[in-house]
Amino acid sequence: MGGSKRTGILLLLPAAILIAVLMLYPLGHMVGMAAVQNGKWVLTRSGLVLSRDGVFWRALWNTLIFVVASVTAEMATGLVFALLLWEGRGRAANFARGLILLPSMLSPTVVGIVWLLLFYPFGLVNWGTTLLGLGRLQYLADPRLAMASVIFVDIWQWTPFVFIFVLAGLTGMPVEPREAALVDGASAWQVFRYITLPLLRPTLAAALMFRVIDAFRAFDKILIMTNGGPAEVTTILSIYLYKVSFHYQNWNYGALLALVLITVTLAFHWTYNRLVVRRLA
Amino acid sequence: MPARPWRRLLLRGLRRATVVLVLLYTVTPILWVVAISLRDPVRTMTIPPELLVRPTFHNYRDLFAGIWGNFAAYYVNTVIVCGSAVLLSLAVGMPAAFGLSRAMVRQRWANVFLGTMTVIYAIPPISLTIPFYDIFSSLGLFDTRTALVLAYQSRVLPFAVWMMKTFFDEIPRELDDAGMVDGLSRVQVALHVVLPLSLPGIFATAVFCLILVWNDLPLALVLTSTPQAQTLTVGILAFVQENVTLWNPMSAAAVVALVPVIFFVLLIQRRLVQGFGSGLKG
Amino acid sequence: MSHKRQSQPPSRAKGRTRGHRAEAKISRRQFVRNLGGAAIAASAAAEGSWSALRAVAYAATSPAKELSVALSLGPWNGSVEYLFKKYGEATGTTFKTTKAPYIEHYRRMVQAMQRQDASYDFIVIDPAMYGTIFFKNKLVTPIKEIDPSWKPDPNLIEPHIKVGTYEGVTYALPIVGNTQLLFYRSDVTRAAGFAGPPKTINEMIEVNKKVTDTGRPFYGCIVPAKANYDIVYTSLAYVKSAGGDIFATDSGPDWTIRFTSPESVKGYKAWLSLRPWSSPDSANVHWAELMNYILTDRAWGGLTVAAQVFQIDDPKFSKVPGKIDVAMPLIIDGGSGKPAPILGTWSMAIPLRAPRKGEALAFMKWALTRENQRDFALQGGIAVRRDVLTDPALTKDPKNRWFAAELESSALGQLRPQMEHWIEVQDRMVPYLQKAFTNEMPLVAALNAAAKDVQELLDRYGYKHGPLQLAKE
Repeated sequence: MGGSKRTGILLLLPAAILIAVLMLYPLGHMVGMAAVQNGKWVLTRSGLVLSRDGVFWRALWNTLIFVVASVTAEMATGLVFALLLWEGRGRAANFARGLILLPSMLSPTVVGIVWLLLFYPFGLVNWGTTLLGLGRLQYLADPRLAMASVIFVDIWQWTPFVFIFVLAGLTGMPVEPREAALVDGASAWQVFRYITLPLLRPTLAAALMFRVIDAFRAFDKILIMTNGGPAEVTTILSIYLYKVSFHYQNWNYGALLALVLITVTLAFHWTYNRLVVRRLA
Repeated sequence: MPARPWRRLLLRGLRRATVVLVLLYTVTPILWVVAISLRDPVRTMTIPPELLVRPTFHNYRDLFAGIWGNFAAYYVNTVIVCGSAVLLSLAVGMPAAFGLSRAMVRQRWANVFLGTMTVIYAIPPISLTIPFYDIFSSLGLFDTRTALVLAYQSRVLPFAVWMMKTFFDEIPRELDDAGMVDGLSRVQVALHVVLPLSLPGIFATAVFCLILVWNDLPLALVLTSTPQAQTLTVGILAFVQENVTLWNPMSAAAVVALVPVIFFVLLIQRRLVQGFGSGLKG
Repeated sequence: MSHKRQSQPPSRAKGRTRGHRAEAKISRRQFVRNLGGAAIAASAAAEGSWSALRAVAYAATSPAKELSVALSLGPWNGSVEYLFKKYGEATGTTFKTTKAPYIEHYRRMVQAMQRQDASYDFIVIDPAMYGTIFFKNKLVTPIKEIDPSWKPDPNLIEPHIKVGTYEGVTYALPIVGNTQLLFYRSDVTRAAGFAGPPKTINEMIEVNKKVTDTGRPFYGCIVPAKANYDIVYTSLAYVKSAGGDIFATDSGPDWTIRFTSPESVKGYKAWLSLRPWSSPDSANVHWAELMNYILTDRAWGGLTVAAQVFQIDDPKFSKVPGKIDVAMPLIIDGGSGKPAPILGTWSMAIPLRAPRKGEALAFMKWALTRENQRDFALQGGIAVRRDVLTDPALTKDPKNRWFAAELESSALGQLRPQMEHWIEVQDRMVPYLQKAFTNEMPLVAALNAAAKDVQELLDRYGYKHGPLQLAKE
């Protein structure tokens, strides 16, 4: 209806203005920075440099590993934690659920620092592993372990995010289908697999979408823990982008890297949507 | 059947034990942050790690005595900036989400809008710092809280619109129609029917948005330079210096930064879960 | 009343009354929205014009005797700000200091200088920033341009001045005499039967063997190898002592790669030979952690910078106050025979468009006089004058036992390449040096691979150089 369409546009207008002024302009500015420097067209040359840039390709690969591993693990742990804790009633249960949220509320800088301390050869983590007889490991100094350690910290930090989504999904679920199934003699696993999980799909899909985009942007904590090392194993695209822009002061190449990162993020997001989310939801 | 209850007890015990392990895994690092804030560097890294050390509160005292910068000002700025940013995103995002949800916007426009939002959300914050710096400097807004509130919209607005649209979607269209049949205008339906039902979901959105901006670093770092606008995250970064990292006062600052967020989340916790539940029903 | 009437097409008959009311309601809603927008605009305008007003007011009314300076946050702030206070008492000048965390300070200074910012009278920068600020781009004012008769006081330790000089023109004057020093446990060294600290690598290995042979976890000389410039900076001291270098010249025009020469390889080999007695997490150890190992009685020592010295006797940081001493970086046996500490001096520079250049230089000269450097040292600052570091009244205090080594290290101080893209070159070398350190790649292969990368960088940025000579086994 005519009135409806106009209303719709009016409703969108403030947001659209904010977006156009505050965000599309910076985006355009970035494209401009990547393409033109001192009045000269540098995009083709930068593109060639990019294609030959070994660090970029390694960073891209590291980023993909990081995102896939951490997001998958976070979804699993968030789901498991929520399943464990959603039914509890009373103060203790509420308190427990509140505690689970804490890691997401810490500043990433602090997360980096505290895990740096915990991962020291004589820090708490190794103290625990030696107690259990597993010996001492160099979590951040061993090139073979560094990426896994960094992924572990990301999981620790962002599981609560998924947890909250799933928790909400579980508490909002209609009770009847499950009760009916139990009455019909279904086992707990069957109830989960065929009733709970399908009903959770939209929630999981939403959590997945946000986590995937956010994972590409992980940056502060890795910078603090390993500065991208050792030997560039934990250098993901956002870290390389930061170094190129802020350390080498190479702004136009940095802008190009940013555009590539955004494209990769969106491509990943779109693919995930098509392949995974559409099937889930 | 005597075997059955035994098995159930075992499962319950296992479940309890797992919960305890999960809580330990989650909370231990945070307890360590608190522990470090209560001691000196000389006792922080030792062989073996010292778990119990006589606590000292001088890190907290120093923090508020202003030795590490004007933390009182950082606090105030963070509360004002984050609160305003969240409110602004809700104020601007709610109508947009409503329009998108109630199909008041043609599908194509809606998709363009949502697509743009996703692109904006995917931009790494460090890439936005330079364009924002240029914009706000030329507007004379460098080192102001207004600049931060506006810059933060790039973080929260897409998120807020997405989430609120999802909540509005879950409220059945039939209620709208019923309201209109009863003689309410579209606007009244929005304000008196849809909004109250989605209020818990809006709370949830507010909490998430707050968490998103409370700990933002790149934008705050680049767009501010004095305590008139600097936030807690900038204050915390000051402890990471060239030749030394001052873990102990930094942990104190981290604890201090965490408290309001915890407070806010606890306040809204029950509403949050309820709201989500009604918002994302499968 | 600013009711904006929305002109709408007449709604269908059924909703006519509703439509009419909706029309009115929508206008009110629009009014509210306009109000909100106006509020935001007003707030922005207010803060914006307030800032602009303040800037104008500052320029118009700030006392001619106010200097605006930018610093990065660091433990040396206290001593430098003491100088500001003292100067203020002497001349009535006030200082407006802007501080930022190091990373942000770096970015801000480089960009401010590139934009020819006029908001600072002088800035305090560290060698990492010299490259982009004054080597090729000359974005700060040469000292002689402000005062043609200026000559460095002979008591100022020459290398500290050299670090701020490019192609014969001095752009920056030193303020914090940061240089490389070997921190070590004098008590443990004596107890192991050695008269003094080791001077050469071979002596160091002897000491390492003895001091780590205790029952408890105690490491020898820690070698920091984290993925930032520490690893290049630390190994460079050994490379230069062996007679090698990164490039053929420190300031051009010949940028032929020299870190694959036999002398350089000898230096790197010596650097790696210390690994077995370093801590197991060395590939992620930064100077801060290195110092912490020493301070908490978990390691014998390590090569780091003088700026760390404030921690050695402070019981908040140190478990072993009074037991840590400093010495020269190690000499490579069969090399140049001399230690080669690399300078990390913090200097004061005056931007091209600084409003009060003369006054800024006056303060800088005042800060470098004997009396004031003495006070600076008493406040814990690292002096840059020979006569202050040898002043008997100061050196007799055991708290200042590091002065002699600081003097010797500064006098022998070496430069890093004075090239605009040095940071990027370093970053290209870091992963290869790390791979050599963690045994992922043999040293020679790592150096050759790094050389190829650096050569490509030199070509890309147009640095002139001779042919690349790869290292041989």
